Amino acid sequence: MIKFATSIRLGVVKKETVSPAYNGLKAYMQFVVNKLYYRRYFSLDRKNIPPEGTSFLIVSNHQNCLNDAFGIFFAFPDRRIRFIARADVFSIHPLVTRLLHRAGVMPAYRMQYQGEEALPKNEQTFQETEENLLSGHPVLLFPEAGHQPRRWLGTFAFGYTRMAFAAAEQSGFRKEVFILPACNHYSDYFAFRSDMLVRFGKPVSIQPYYELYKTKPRTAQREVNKLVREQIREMMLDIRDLEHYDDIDFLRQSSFGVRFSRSAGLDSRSLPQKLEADKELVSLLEQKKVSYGTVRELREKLENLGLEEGQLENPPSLLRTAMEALLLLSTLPLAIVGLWPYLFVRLIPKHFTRKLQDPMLYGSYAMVVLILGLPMAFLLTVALEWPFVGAWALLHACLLPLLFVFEVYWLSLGRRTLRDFRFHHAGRRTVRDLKEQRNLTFERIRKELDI
Amino acid sequence: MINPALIQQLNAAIADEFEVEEQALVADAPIQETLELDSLSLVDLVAVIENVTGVKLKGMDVKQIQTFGALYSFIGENL
Repeated sequence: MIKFATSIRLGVVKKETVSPAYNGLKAYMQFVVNKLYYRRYFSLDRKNIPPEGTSFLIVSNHQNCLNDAFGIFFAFPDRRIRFIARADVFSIHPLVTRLLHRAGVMPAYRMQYQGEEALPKNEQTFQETEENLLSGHPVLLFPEAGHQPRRWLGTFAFGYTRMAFAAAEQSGFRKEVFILPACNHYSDYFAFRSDMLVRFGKPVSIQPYYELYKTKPRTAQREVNKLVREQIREMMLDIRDLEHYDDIDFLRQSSFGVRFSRSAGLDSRSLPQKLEADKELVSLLEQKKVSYGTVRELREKLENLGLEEGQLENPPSLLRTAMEALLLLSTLPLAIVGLWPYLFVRLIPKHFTRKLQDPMLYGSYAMVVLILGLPMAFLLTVALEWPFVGAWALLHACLLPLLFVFEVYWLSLGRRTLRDFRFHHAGRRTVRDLKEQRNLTFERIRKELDI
Repeated sequence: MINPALIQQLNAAIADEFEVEEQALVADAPIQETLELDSLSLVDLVAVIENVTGVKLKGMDVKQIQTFGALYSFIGENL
């Protein structure tokens, strides 16, 4: 058992000094993730983050592995936060293990991954977390005990409430411990230059439950968990109808969802506003028990033809498609240059994701490869090109981040142009039939929803 | 087959440990939802079962069991 210093037990905390190296590294990571990887990053309701020195755990939904952790990490610009992560990342390589410890990451052992016999090892993490809490160092964890493959909220394991109450107990119940609910949301899990948001709920004080905890610890934990989970659920997009998940997702992303946003006075191009509109739409769809047969049919037809619903809403003209193709061809040399280092950032994560058979890990790998790969690509570019082009190599190396962004947009335009070609190839009759089917389907759903 | 008196004793111990009403622990009640089990409390459940019945079960085995009725049968088979 770790013995806490008296100052910690009584909750006397000093402001934590963050080293310039830590801040520098964080600033670099923030640039790569928030400026290159994402198009836009939103951190909302940061006013809810308790002031420095407060004992609090940050608890969030979990869908996109490392991206979720980074999203919350960057919302704390001048503070250090600690993390609890699945224990298997500690066994990748001894160097990774050391780095994780230095970064304040603690392992969580789970029955389904590490086996029952590994569970007692969690005691060390629990004690370190309690110590951190009493020292006023926030700790982030994801109580769903694994990431979800979709936009929905799983059940919570009670490890976090145990740690919060145990920390309070260590202080003789004199220290007020909080749980800060947080939510992550993405416009697209897998695409570069997509949007991400993190939102913070109102901190939940567990102090009102101290007396209950003394006699009924599990009941106190359940009550706190109910409050925290409900706050997270209210902030996020939680599609509970898993049977019709793909149909609901299709509707919210289609022109139906865009119109719904507009009618609610919300801008679907802004992720925070789109999230609010989507939450309202999903809640309405689940309440009214809409029938999704024709939605599925339409969705599958579009998928089979390689088309998108948006093309029925705004059909691409032949002239526009030709202009796009011309633009792509004229910028092809730059796109070839931009393949370095884009190709590695794309292919390495794909390889590992396929190997681990978990598509939700793609974002994590891509982020890590981008963060580590950029400085390496910079050095390699200078080293390989300098003998041939001299100082121009330095210019090329400095432009790598811009080339990466260019490559993402060039390929995205390429995919869109291909889709537009498919649209023209499908023929007027097919498009007319699809449009008619879509209009009838959307009209029927509008009636069913009474909107 | 597990003795009804042992079931009663086990239910009392589970209700006490997990702070739930004993009446909720009926044969067709789902274990996970009724006790709000996570992997750590699953270990606690295994310990309660062992204390009352002397049967040492594996957490992973108990995790697969859906209802209290199935749990009692499983314990009965291992008595």
